[in-house]
Amino acid sequence: MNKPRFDKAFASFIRRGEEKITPKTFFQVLAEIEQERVERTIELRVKIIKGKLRFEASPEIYVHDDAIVLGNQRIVVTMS
Amino acid sequence: MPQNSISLPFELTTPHQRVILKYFEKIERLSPQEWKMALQAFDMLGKGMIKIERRQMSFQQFYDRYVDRPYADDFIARLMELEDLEKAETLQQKTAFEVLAMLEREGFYNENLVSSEYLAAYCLYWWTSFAKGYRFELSIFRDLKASGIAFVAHDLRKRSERRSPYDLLVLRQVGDIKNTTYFLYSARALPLNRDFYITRLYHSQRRRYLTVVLMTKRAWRELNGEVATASLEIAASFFPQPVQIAFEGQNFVIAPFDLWKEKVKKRQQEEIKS
Repeated sequence: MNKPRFDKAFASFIRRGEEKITPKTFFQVLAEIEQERVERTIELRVKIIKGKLRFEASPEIYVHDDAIVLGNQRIVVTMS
Repeated sequence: MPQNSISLPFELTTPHQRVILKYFEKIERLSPQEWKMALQAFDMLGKGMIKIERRQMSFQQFYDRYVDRPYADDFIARLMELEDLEKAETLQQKTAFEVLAMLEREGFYNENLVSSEYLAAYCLYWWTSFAKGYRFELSIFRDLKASGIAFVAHDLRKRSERRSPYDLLVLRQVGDIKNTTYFLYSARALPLNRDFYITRLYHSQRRRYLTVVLMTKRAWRELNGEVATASLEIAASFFPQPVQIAFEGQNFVIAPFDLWKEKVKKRQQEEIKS
């Protein structure tokens, strides 16, 4: 570890004040995140309990019983 | 005497470690790709582990026990006593240096504890995010009150309420107030499922921060707002005019805070009359 370098970096970070994130950077970072999201696979596990489908809780996406909540949408999965 | 030890998450690569240092040294020089990587790295760091004598805990648990619990309530109480929130920056910085000194004093950040610089980085990142976030949140609450807007907010002084599912309720819409870095962190790590988010962006030409509201298209429609649509690549060119973007598979509108307040106030007055 180069502690003096980290000490200096931490001190300057603390004193620097607010980060100046411009609209351009903001939207570019959102675009990067969106790109990463498309590349990311979220695996969900499911059980059949008394004939009904039940998702197991996931830290990556909100699920409740037989539904996946994505933004303001609720996706209900049923068996045909 | 048993020694403390740290293990970093295996997915935290050397480029992640480099970008963490750059985040603290030259945050203004981070490219959008590096920003994304830094947010990813701080997320991963939460899974880092520290062994203190025989007890093992994650960085996230460590932060909660050694930073959040001892420092947060006092910081919020002192913040709320301030009439002039400009003075809050000094309080935030003083507490951040105290946290760093505590880590050194207690042997959690030193050259003999391998990778302890990343534990210190994790604690400072979250402390700063917490402090800036609540400074911003309090300034928004005061602004809304001064503007005569009716809203219901959680009580910042109560730890349980600080962890409530949302920060405020306006016109039956639920919203959060987040400083920019924390908003981006949330956008990456969590689903954006509030009706609106109040955050702020730095306007280079005007050399000042502009508070903005990012809301669902439905929330904006309820306020009778007009909007142009743009891709994320060109959305900045519309700023500070309202612009609609697609993110996470849904449409959001980003509009200046003052315009949002104007429309909210109008709608609230219409509801009182009807």
